[in-house]
Amino acid sequence: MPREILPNAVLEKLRCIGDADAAKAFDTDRAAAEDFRRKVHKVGLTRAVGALDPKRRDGLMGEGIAMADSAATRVRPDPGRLRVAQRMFGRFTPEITGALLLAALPQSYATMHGSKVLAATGALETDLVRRVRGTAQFLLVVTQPAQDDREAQYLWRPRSDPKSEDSGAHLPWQVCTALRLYHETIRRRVSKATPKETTAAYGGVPLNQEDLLGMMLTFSITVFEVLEQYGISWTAEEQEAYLHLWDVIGAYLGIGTSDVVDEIEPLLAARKYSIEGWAGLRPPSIADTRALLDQIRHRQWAMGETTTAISYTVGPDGPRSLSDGRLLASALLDELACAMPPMLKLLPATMMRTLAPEVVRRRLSLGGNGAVLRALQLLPGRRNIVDRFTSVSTPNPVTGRVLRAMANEVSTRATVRFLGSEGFTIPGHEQWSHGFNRCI
Amino acid sequence: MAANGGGGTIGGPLPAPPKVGCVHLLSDDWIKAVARTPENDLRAHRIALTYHHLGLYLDELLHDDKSVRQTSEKPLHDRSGIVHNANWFNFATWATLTVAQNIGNQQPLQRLNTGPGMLLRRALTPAVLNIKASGGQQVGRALAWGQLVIFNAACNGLLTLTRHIEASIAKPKRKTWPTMKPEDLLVPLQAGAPIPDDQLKAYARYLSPLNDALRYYAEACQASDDETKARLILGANLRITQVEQDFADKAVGVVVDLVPRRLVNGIDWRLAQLAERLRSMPRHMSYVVLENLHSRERTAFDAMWSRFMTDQVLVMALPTETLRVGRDIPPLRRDRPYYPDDLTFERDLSKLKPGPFRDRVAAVAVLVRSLDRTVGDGRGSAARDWRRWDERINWALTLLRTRQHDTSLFWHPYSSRDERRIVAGELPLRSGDPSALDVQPPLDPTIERLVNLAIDNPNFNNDDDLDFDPDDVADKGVDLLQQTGGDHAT
Repeated sequence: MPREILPNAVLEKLRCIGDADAAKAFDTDRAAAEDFRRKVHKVGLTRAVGALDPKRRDGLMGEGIAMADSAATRVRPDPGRLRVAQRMFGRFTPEITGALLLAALPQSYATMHGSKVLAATGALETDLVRRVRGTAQFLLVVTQPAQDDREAQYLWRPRSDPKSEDSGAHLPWQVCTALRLYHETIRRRVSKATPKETTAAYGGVPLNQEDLLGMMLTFSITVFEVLEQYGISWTAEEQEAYLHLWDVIGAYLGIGTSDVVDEIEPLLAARKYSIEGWAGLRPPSIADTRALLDQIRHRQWAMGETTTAISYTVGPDGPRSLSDGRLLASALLDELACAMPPMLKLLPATMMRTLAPEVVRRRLSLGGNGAVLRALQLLPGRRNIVDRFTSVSTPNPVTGRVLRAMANEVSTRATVRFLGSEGFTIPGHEQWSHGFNRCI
Repeated sequence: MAANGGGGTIGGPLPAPPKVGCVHLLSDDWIKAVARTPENDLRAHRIALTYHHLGLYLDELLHDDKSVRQTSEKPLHDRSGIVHNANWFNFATWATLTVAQNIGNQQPLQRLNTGPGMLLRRALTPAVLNIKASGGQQVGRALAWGQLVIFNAACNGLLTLTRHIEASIAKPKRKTWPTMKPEDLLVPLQAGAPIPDDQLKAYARYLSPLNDALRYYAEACQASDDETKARLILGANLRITQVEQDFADKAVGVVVDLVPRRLVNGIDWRLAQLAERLRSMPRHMSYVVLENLHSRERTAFDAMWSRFMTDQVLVMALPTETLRVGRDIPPLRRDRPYYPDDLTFERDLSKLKPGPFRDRVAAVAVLVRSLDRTVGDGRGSAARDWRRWDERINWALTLLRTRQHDTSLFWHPYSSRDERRIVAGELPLRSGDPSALDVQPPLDPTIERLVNLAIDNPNFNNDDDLDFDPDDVADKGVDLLQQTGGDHAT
């Protein structure tokens, strides 16, 4: 059993909480919100705002700015740390992209309830390509580099910007707010007639606070875990800066708002827990953040349940829980395989198996790797002495380099494929992206 | 003939029951008799024989006048365009016969029947048999138990389906689907002994996929077009295979891990003896301590051995080919696409053909896609570690999809005389193992056609689209069959 950072009762409570502010924004103009959802499906998240009717857009943007303002006061973006995080992203772009595509996304598909929501939102196959590209585009926007502290602040400061609104959401705060609103439209769309039926179908409110928190931590901590497998280690400051970036993104996505904290406060007090000094729902230290993700994984991957083979046919959490995740993994693998040359078409699956924990491999029916990769992973690691009583193990340098090169091959080719798709742009290089688009 | 005109049985009379002599093979009595057969090797042959006949019976339920048995009685020109669909029992027949060699202790592994292994056969066979028999014959017992549980579930499933179809014929407007009960999954090994509640509860989880499979078969009986029928049958085959592989999971682990475990335990025992001599430490205590040391290295050794076994040793013997589980499954026909057209699913499910079973076919497509880890041409179907359920399912799924239309799966594994011997409780004279060339192809009119074409065109490998008068040849074939006493279905 992993260490309890938040009591399980609190995590259960978080499953019943959605996003009150976004719900209010949705209710202000339902037709505009629904139109926005359709536009996201049609032209993508970043261009959906620009594609809206100006009247509707103004109303939605007003609500969006209010939500973003509230987020900015809760977790104040620190320009210095944001720039460190952006620099790290720039330096390790293929590695981080690979970690997200080959480890974080599969891990999120392996969750008990999250994949059901993804599956319930429509045509999985065609939608998945859009989703994967949308995720990649979202990451490029939120991690776009700033020249100095002033620009870093500018990127995250909510304000009305008619010029930007016409061309779409290309600033981090805009794209986060657009995604937050999109999440609310999904909540409304997949919810059943009664809350009881919804809870039975998704284990709580769709896209609830626990699912969002789990997703945010997966996207940040999994990157560290994968880089460690390559033998790349970041300093504590760099890790904290990267986590801070995700704290800010999380706040703009409505994770751990003051309403949420108010709702869980009595439960925390009753168990003598406190989240004073936390960044939203994330504990302040890196070790505790990792432990919290482990706790959520343990719950979401049903690791406490029986893990006999039958659980991989039917699923301890219902017959559909595994099949949705497996289908999503399959569609992701298809998309990645399409980006590879014929000789390397099996490489994405190989890397996904290598980077995924055993429970994820089983839940997603990914299989095991062959003798060569298995042997490579068994090569003895290096032990680094930290101080008199502490040592840290790092993987064998050969293993790390080989894995890194293989994963980079996949992520680079996938990125080129994404760049070739219509509407995919690199912030600050819009013209170049469109030109690349046409070349491909 | 089916009332719906789709070549299925719901609405028409049931086919003749599967029998050998006067023994009804789809009856409670026979299922219990097989389950309570004390000898493992005889039981394995009885299971294979039953599967074979149930496969032909289910084929008639599904296809009626287009079934393999009824098609073989038609003149050749009436057979064109008929596509046969192997069901789970056809595949299980050959899988059982492959496993049967490893349950008894008379024969070496199938890999020693072909290739370089043949040269080592004489030297290796005693060692292999010795290992197989070691540890209280763990391999044979584990495989036999897994095989027995699967047999009970599959046969009772078909019994449930048959009863459902009988009821549907009596009341055509009834809108229900065949449903199994937990008791159907297990047969007490001793007459009159109750099945423990906890065991029933544990096995109840298998009911959902099995009932799913029965429903697919029942719908396939009703489906009017060949493509839908083939896809629904694939769905049923796959659902049962999922359960079957779950049943067999632990048994496979025991079999694959046997050698490394024995080796490591042997080393532990030697070390424990040494510790007793040098340090006066009781050896049983040292042994227990040693067993719990170096768990990471032991797991790694097990894994490496398992990968070696999967790659080099394990096979599945089909009538016309022996497939290695550690290699990608080769195409059935090199001149055709890897997957048959009707079993290649549309990428966009909204483009599925409209019809009464559209949703069900979509569910099959989702199931197939969720478990398929190949890149579309069979690459990636090879298993790396046969102990893993997901690896076995990936391999099995490719096998089911590529071989579903292979009529050689309907061939008889045993001669008529051997069938009677097995039913009477004696071991067959021939083991029915295709890799040991114990299976003979059926003698039917197509053979003469094949020979003529092979003479005319040495590159010939296609027995379709032929144009000649078959009646004369068919008569000769029937004469030959009667002379040789053969009664092959195809």
